[in-house]
Parts: sequence; C-alpha cells; structure tokens
Amino acid sequence: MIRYLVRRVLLLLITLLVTSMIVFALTQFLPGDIARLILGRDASPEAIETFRQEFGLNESLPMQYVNWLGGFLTGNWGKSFAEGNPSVRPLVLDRLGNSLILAGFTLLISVPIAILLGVMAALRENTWLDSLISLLSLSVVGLPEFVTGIVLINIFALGLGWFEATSLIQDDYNIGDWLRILTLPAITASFVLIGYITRLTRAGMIDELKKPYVQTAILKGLPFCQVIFKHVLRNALLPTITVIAISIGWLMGGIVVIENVFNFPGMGSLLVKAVEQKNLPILQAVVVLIVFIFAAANLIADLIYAALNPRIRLN
Amino acid sequence: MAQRPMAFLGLIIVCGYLLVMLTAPMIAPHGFSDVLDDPNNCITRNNQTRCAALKNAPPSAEHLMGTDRNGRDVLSRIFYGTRETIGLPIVATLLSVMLGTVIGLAIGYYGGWIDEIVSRILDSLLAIPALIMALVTLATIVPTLAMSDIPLVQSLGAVNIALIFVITLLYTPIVARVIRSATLNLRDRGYVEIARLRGESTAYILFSEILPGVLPALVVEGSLRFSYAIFLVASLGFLGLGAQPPSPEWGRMVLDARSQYATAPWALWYPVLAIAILIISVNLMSDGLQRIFRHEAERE
Amino acid sequence: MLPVIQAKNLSIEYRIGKRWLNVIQDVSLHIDPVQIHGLVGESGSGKSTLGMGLMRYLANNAWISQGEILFDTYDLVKLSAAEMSKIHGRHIGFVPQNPLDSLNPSLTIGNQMAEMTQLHLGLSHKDALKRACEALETTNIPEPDAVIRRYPHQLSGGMQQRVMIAMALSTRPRLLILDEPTTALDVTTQAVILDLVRELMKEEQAAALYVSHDLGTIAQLCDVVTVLYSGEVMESAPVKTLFKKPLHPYTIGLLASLPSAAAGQNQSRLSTIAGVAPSLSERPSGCAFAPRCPVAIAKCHTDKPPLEKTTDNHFLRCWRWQDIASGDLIPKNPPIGKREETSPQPGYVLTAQHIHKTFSENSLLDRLMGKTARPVQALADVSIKINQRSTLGLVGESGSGKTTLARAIVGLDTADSGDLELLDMPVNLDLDKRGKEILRNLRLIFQNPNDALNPYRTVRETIGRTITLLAQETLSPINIENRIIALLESVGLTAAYADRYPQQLSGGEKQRVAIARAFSAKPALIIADEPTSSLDVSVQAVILNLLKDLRAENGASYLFISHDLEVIRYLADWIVVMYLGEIVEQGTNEQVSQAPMHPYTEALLSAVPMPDPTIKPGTIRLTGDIPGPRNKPTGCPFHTRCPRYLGDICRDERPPLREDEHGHVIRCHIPLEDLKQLQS
Repeated sequence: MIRYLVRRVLLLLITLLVTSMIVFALTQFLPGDIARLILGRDASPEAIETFRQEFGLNESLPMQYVNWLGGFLTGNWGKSFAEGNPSVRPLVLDRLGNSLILAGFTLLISVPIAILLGVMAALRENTWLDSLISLLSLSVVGLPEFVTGIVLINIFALGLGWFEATSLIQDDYNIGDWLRILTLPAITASFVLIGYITRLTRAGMIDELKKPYVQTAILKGLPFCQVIFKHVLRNALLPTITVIAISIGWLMGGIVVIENVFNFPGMGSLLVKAVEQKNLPILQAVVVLIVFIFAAANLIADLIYAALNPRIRLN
Repeated sequence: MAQRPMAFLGLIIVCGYLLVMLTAPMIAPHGFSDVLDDPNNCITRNNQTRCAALKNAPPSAEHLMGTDRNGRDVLSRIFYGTRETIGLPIVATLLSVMLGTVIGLAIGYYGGWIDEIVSRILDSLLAIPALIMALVTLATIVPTLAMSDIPLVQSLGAVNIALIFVITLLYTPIVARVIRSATLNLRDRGYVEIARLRGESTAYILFSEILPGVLPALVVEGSLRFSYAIFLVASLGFLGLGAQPPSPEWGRMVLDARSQYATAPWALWYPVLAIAILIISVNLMSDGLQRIFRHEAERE
Repeated sequence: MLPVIQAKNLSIEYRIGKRWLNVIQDVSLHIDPVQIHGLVGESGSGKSTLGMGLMRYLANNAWISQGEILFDTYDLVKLSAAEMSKIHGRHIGFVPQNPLDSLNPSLTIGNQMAEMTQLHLGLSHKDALKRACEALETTNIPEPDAVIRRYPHQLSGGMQQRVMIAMALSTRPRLLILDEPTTALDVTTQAVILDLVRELMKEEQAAALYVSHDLGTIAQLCDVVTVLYSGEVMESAPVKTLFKKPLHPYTIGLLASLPSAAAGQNQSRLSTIAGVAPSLSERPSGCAFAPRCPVAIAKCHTDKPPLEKTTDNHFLRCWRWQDIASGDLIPKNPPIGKREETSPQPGYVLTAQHIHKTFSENSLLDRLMGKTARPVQALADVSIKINQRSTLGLVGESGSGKTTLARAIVGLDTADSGDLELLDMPVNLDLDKRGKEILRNLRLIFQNPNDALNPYRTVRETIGRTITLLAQETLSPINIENRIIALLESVGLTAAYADRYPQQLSGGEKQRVAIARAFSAKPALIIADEPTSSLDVSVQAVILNLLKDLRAENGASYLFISHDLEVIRYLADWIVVMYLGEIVEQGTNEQVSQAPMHPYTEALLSAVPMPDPTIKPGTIRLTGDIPGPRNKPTGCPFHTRCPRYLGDICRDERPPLREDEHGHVIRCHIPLEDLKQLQS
C-alpha cells in the first residue's frame, strides 16, 4: 500500500511537471513582442524595455520557465500585466475561494442525486423508469451550461424572481444570501455532472449485478436489501469514485462558462478576462491551480479507491 | 437501429442538420451577414431609396425567426451557422479519430517503454480540463495564425483553424487511450498471434487484423467526441473566444443576443433551441450505437 | 422413503427476442436422502439451467412454464421470492463453478460465511464466526481462524472452493447443489475436493445434485446419474448400471467417445457421435437424438418416445431400448476411417536444448525508482526432442510452463537462451528473425477456437492468406482455391464452408478450420496447445481422430499439449511431464504409465477420475497448493508437495536426471530402483 501511494504521488508530480511545461510553452506561442502587445503600439522603447526587465522577458525561454516555476513554488506568483500591476496571488486566491464554494455546492447536489438515479435505473433495468432516467441523462442534462443557465435564469430569476440572475458577493452575506446566488449556478453545473455520473453508475451497477457473487448472495437466502446494500453497492460504487474525480475536470470547465453566464466573481471569469487581455501571469497561475486541483482530486480518488479495495490495499 | 426508436429519431434529426449544413446557401432566404431593410422606414431621396435596418423584428411569415439587433435574418444565420457549429466539430472529430487510432494502435500493440512514455504525455494533456486547455491555446495561437499567410488559414479563418487544432489536440489523447485499451484486448488474441506466425508485417497486423476489431469502439468514441466537440465550440463561441462577429456560430449568436433579450427574445431562443436539439439528437444516436455494440459484444 | 427433492414434468422456457424457447422439457427426477445424484450433459444440454431451476433460480428472461418441484412440504414453483430466500442457504446449499468470482471480493471470508448462520440460525456475529471456523476445519483448511480474516483473492482456487463448500454446509442443509465445482481446478486439486465432498455428504447425511460435463468425476462421485440431452432426460440409472450397461444410444455413444474407452479396448480410433446437437430453436419433432442416432428408425423421427421405467430405477427415453437391452442391436458408430497407423521414424523434426525463459514485469517508473519485482521463472533448462512422424505429449497442470514452452518454440515468446533446431536448420529464438522456411514448417493450433479465427474474415480468406504467404511454390488463384477446398474436405467440412464467417460455425467446426489452416502450408511440426479442452467429449473424439488421420496422411509430427492425461495417453508416442517450468519425467507412452515413475506423475495418474465406477479412485493425494510462480521452491520444485519427500536433500539440491537403459528419464533424488519398489 505504501509503495502504491509513493507510486501515485510520483506519477502526480510527473504529470504536474509536464503539464506546467505544456501550459508555459503554449503561452509562449504569442506572436511578436508581448510587451508591445500589452503596452500598445505607441509605447516608447524605454517603457517597453522597462516592462521587459520587470517581467523577466529578456531571459531565455528555459530560464523564464525555471524562474516562473521557482517563483510559483515559493509563493511568488508575480505581478499582473493589468493597470497598477497588482500582485497575482491575493487576486487569484480570492477568486479561487468563491469558485471552490460554487464547486463544492455543485458536488453536494449532484453526486447523491446521480448515484441514486444510477442505482435506481440499474435495479430497474429495461423498465420505463430506466428508460426515463436514461433519456433525461442524455437530453436535458447533457446540454451546454450556457444553454441550461440561460433557460434557468429566465424562468427562476427573471420570471419567478426566486433567485438572482447575477451574482454579486458581499462580505456580510449570510447563508440565505449565499443560497440566493449559488443555487442557480450550482444547479446549472450539476446538470452535466448528474447526466455523466448517472450513466456511468448505472453501467457499473449493471455490470456488478451480473457477477457470480451476486448469485451466491441470493442463493445464500439473503434478503434483497442485504444483497444490494451489503454486497453489490460497495463494489459497484468503487468505480464511481474515479468517475467523480474525472467529472471534477468537467466541472472546472463548466464553471468557467457558468461564471460568465451569471457574472459570478470566481476564477473562471478571471481566466476569461486574462485570456482576452493576454495577461500571462494571471493566466498561468489560474491554469496551473486548476490543473493542480484536478490532479489532486484524481489522486485522492485513487487513494480512496485503493483503501476500499482489498485487492489493491493488500498487495 | 430500428428497434431503438429514440436512437433512430436522433439519427434522423442529425441527418437533417447535416442536410441543412450542405445546402445552407441554397435554402437560406438571406446571407448570414445581410442587413435587411425595414420597408416602413425608408427615405427616398434623389430617386434613391435608403432604408433603415430591420432591427429586432419579431418572427413573421417573412422572417420565420425574426431578425436580430443588427437587422439580420435569424433563420438564415442559423442555417449558415451549421457550418461552424457542426462542420468544425466534424472535421476536428475526424482528425482526432484518425490520429488517435494510429497512436492508440501503435502504443497498444508495441507496449513497453514507448507505450509508457506516450501514455504519460497523453495523461498530462488530459490533466488539463478541456475547456481550460482550449481557452489557453486559443488565446495564444489565434494571434499567431492571424499574422501568418498560409493560404488555408486565409481561406478558413484563423479562429476556425485554431478551433480545429485545439479540439484535435484535446480529443486525440482520449481516442488514443480508448483505442489503446481495445488494442491491448485484441493483441493477444489467437488470430493476431497466428498472423505474426505467418510472418505478416506489423502494418498489416495493425490495420488488417486489429483495426476491424476496434471499429465498434471507434465508432462509439467518435460519436461521443462529436457531441463534446459541438458542446465545446458552442461554449467557446458563447465565451466570446471562439467565432468572432459577424460569424453566425450559434454560441456566438446566443452571446450577441443576450444583451437584447428584453427587446428580441427570439434572437436568443432560436439558436439556443437549435443547439439543444442538435446535442440531444447526437447524444441519443451515440447512446444507441453504444447499446447496439454492447449488445453484440455480449452475444459473442 | 420420501425423496429430498422431486421435479415433476418440469419445463423451463427462455425468451429470446420475441420467441419462447424450451430449454428444459418435461423433466422428472428425484433425489433420495443421502444420495449424490449426477446430472451429466454436453454444453447446451440445459444441465445448469435445470440445476439452478431446481432452486427456482432462473435468468431474468426465463420462467418455469410447467411442472412442480416438491421439496419438504412445498411446491417451490408456487413460493414467493421471500419464501424462497428462507429455503435458499438454509435448506438448499449451493456450490458454484468459479469460486473466485462467486465470493464477494471486498468482504472477508469470515464475514461472508458468518452472514449465513446469522441469518438462518440466528447466531450472534461472534458465534457465527466461531461456527465458520468449525466449518472450515471440516474441510481440512489449515489455520481456519486466519483464513476467516482473509479476502477471497488471497486464497488459492482449491482453498476458495473449500470455503464455498464449508459455507454451503454451515447451516446443515438437506440438499446441496454443486454446479461443475471442480471444472476450474487442476486435476490434483479436483481429486482432493471430490474426496472432501464424498466424505462430507456422508457425514452430514445430506443429499446432493452434482452437475458436470465430466463423466469421470460423475462415475467416481455419484450414486445415481441422469443424462440430459437437448433439455430432456435421455437416461437415468444407478451409477454402476449406467456405466456398465447403458441402454440409450446417446449414453453409449458418449461413453465410447472417451479416450480412456479406446485405451481400454486397445482401439486406435475413437468412436464418435455423428453431427451436432440441435439448437433449441430447431429441435426435431420426434426423439431429440434421432438425427444423430446410429440406430434411429422412421418412428424415432416422428414420435417422441416417453420416459419409461425399465427395471428398478432405470429410466429410458428410447423407442428401441428393448432391442438394445437384449443385445440384438449395438448402437455404436464403428470406428471407421483411413486406418494407417504411423510409427515414429528415426531422426528428429525438432530439438530444443536448454530453453530458459523468465518473465519480468517492471514498468519504466519502477525501474527509475530502483524497485524491481522478482522475475518469474517460467522455463528452467528444458530440453525435448521430437521424432519424425511422431507425437510428443506434454502434460502438466496450470503453471507448469507447458504453454510457455510451446510459445517459446513457435516464437510468440522469445526464450532467454537455448538452442532450437528444426529439420537440422538452426532456428532463431526471435520470431522476427525467422525465415519463411521455418515459419512454414512450424505451425500452431490454439486451445480456444473462438479467438483463433479473425471474426471479420471468411474461412477462405483465413486459409488462403496462409497459403499465399507460406506455400513453397507460388500458386495461381485457382490452385489456391483448390487447395482450400481440399483442406476443408480433409478436415471433414464441405466447400460451402469457405464462404462462412467464424460466427456461423460451431466450436468443433472452428477448430477444424484452425486445423485446416495449420496444415495449409504442409508443415513438418504442428504444435497443438490443448486443442480439445474447450470442446465437448463427443466433439473431442472427432478432432482427435482427425489429428491422427492427418498425421498419417501428411507425415507431420505433433507437439501436443494437454492437462488431460487420458488424451495424452491416447495420442502420444512420447510423453513429457512438466512441473513448475521443469521437466520431471519423460519417456515412451508405456514407460510413463508404468513404474518407475516420478512421484508427481504418480500423483497425477492417481488423481485422474476414471469414467468407470468399478475402478477405485487412486489414493495418492497432494497436500497444499501449487506454489505461485514467484515463489518457486528451491532444490526440487516438487518437494513442498511430494508424498515421497526424502528430507533436506530435496529442499536444497536440484535432483539429478536419472535415465534407464531404454531412455526413460526421471528427475528425482530417489534412485530408479527404489522408485520401482515404492510403486509396486
């Protein structure tokens, strides 16, 4: 088990290193002079040179990467290209907090519902309930977030007025206020997740129900509930852990769109703005953070999976 | 397929969309960037009649889906929009399916350290959530492409080329992983080993012995990728980072129509509806394919 | 005496698509107390469906369309699911075919065993665990209190099956249903499990239904046997009657097609049953067996015979049993065919010297981390020689390295070191460096015909491609086509088969195509890796005959691999016995079956269940399990299980090869003279 753990962490580190290189390399694709691009055509040569000095753009590419990586690891995330050159770290971390609240709330809604629907569909395979759940998971909840978001806003915010159409976050918000702004974005984000997790839970559960040990359990005379809850579920839900981790990758992408639909002040809207303004320091920081969260989620999922699966735990 | 009515329905609708895509210039009443005249708001001066644009006109017999804030016919824009909303994903999906198949077949068959290194790189590419990867890539390569004078870029547009590149970059690793595991399953089959024993070349074994066996997985994965590619292109358009005005790409249309929602809700709802129906149909079709192949695999 | 369970006119139907197919037709049988009732049939006969059906456990698309199942005071057909679950496990125990998959992978053995007695006997968890330990003890599992804390994957196959048996018996059920419980096990483990079942059933005074395709285990274990064909009972009789004086043509044909039957009568060919079993959707209207029956008359094809009672407890479904019983009619396909025996010629077609092969599975990351798993030694210094026009039989249990040896010779696995020579040509160990001449002369037949043929190719394409690539001379398309048809005919198929895809063929037909393909380029040596082990006995007989004929016709040699000693003894001139990657004994067919022999060979022979209830089962049993390949014992690899273990020398030193004056070789520390004495 220890060996497995070391192996997984090593793999994670390799992946993160390669990914950070990919991200850095991609951002170097920009044509021409980034300083001129940011400062504009009319900038004086002196101003451009100062800018280049300040952001270390005169160094060779590998050096720039090493500097950036070293700075990132030691907590010095650099300064934004934007007006006033604010420090990147507090800006990004503040937005990260908001996004994590949204993501957490989304998972809280979607995972239990999805597992319930998936298990129900599998237990009633090939009945109307199964068909209905399959149809729902393929249709309504498979739509792009901006489509569902717009529909939900028009019904529940603009139409019924139950929730806010745009999300302004203030420091003195209580739980009720938070719910008023979080509910619609979280439901929007949940839709895609529910569709995805439901389908895979159903498939996993159906595969599991066909295994011979289920037959053994039934022929031992165990009541149906015990067969399902004690024997089948714990095996059937093991792969679901991995599925949830993968869907966190989806969620990260979805949240970027949703934050734009609802004007939610999270990392996603920051990222889109950084892309529009070619604000490389913010772009790099946000992307690496997202990749890290995604990778960490995968690692945690792997570890939970291993801990719950005696075939891995005991080897 | 006929025994799965929902999947069949999905297939029919997708075919309908494809038909529209191929015939858009013929069936669209107007061009996608044509600004229409408002006949009730014309001034004739010096024998020249100049009309104001027919902005935000509600749906009517003449303009079935109304006009947008610039006075363009929404129906015509939706027809033309199929080329970017559906055409780009088709091209990108085909490219990633082809590339992914070759990579997946090769690493699955050879195994060993080639497999380990390539798999690690594929994993690293997949460690970045798709939409984020697309954002970063688009932000940097679109300006680069825009400055180049490659004829293909000139004719198709930098954004479109970039989108195809991004989607191929994102989906090739996924297809490669699926094909790799299917190949691993087939690699040790008796008939593949028999082929090795009669001295067949590796290329023959990969493409004549193994490839037919992975085709079902390939078709299913291809249809899934197609659905996600549509999703991605539309989402990027909506974020304002994909198609640029005056493009009639549907995500972009939704973005442009949002600010005018109060005066012209139809300009928002029709593209939203078009995307929704398209994606649901592709999903139904792809689910049907999955079930058919799964059913066949079980019968074997 | 009332039977424990009694099925009356039971029929079970399956829904396939929109049709209802009868899988079990009008079956009546009963099991008396303390009786082991054998249910035998080939694949597709419905024996498992019937066995499970007696417990009212059916697939989702199946139902009992007619009949009753009397158990205790109930008719099980009429009980609700909740009532059935009070009988399952409590009064009827079940032992499945595949013990690993039949145990829950994420629960401990103790937990899975305890829930039975907690539920049915109302024991506390603590008492139930104690009860589980006791039950495990009765199955001779060492250290039961450690075993109950383990997970299924930590036990060997034999141990898992003992757990299943202990679990099923822990509630003292009145009836035990065993569905092919030893099919997944090695023959030495099978012998131990069969002894255990026999002993425990006597002890518990319980009745059992034993479902199997294997006539040998049936003969050794059961009191009464029912023969099922196409979902119907053909014959049912006490075991001695059935094996000694079978009256149904199907039973007679089945018994005659066993290799041991041929050996017993010094026959060079096996009797076969013509044709194949009918599919469920096209069952004949008369007797189900009529189309394949050598003595069928017109009436057999039109009217279904009733199940008649001939004498005490002998039941038959045949119009002509009286003629057969009186001896006027012998319903056997005489062993026909080209009768030209071959004998081994001097000179070797293949010599393999000092072949070594180890497998190591270290990923790049593991190597970077400096952690390397111990390599698995699959072949250690293996040398064999195959005479011209002869058959070398290679026998051994799983993990013996017999398949690895075959793969190393044909080149699918590259041996680490060693010398190969084919017809005096040196053979490179690496497949990619072998020339066409070597490829042509060295062909392979796989165990599983289902994956030996590319499902997307017709038979013509499959065979034609080999001819095009490997034939000595360049052939015109017409010549290739003629060659394909000639090959198909030589394996007993018609030219019409050339256009078929593998999905349209039965298992036996696929194997025939694979054999035709193997012979298509006129090879010198064919390596056949368990070519009949996935086939039914009646089909196996056809394939074995075919292999014999083709050898005579083509002058080829075989390296024939099997776990089934009877098949090897039927076919081989020279026998090689392997254990954990080493050859422990080799000699002529006669030599290996006679003293002196290696203690492992002795145990193997003793474990084979003979399809004759009058032959007492052998008594030599191997304790413990085959060591995993990663923990190969030092010294003599067999010392951990050897019944004739001498002492430290066996543990510490590799035994010497001892060869007698006739070329019979044994690798053992015990001198040949002593071995001879021990075994006589």
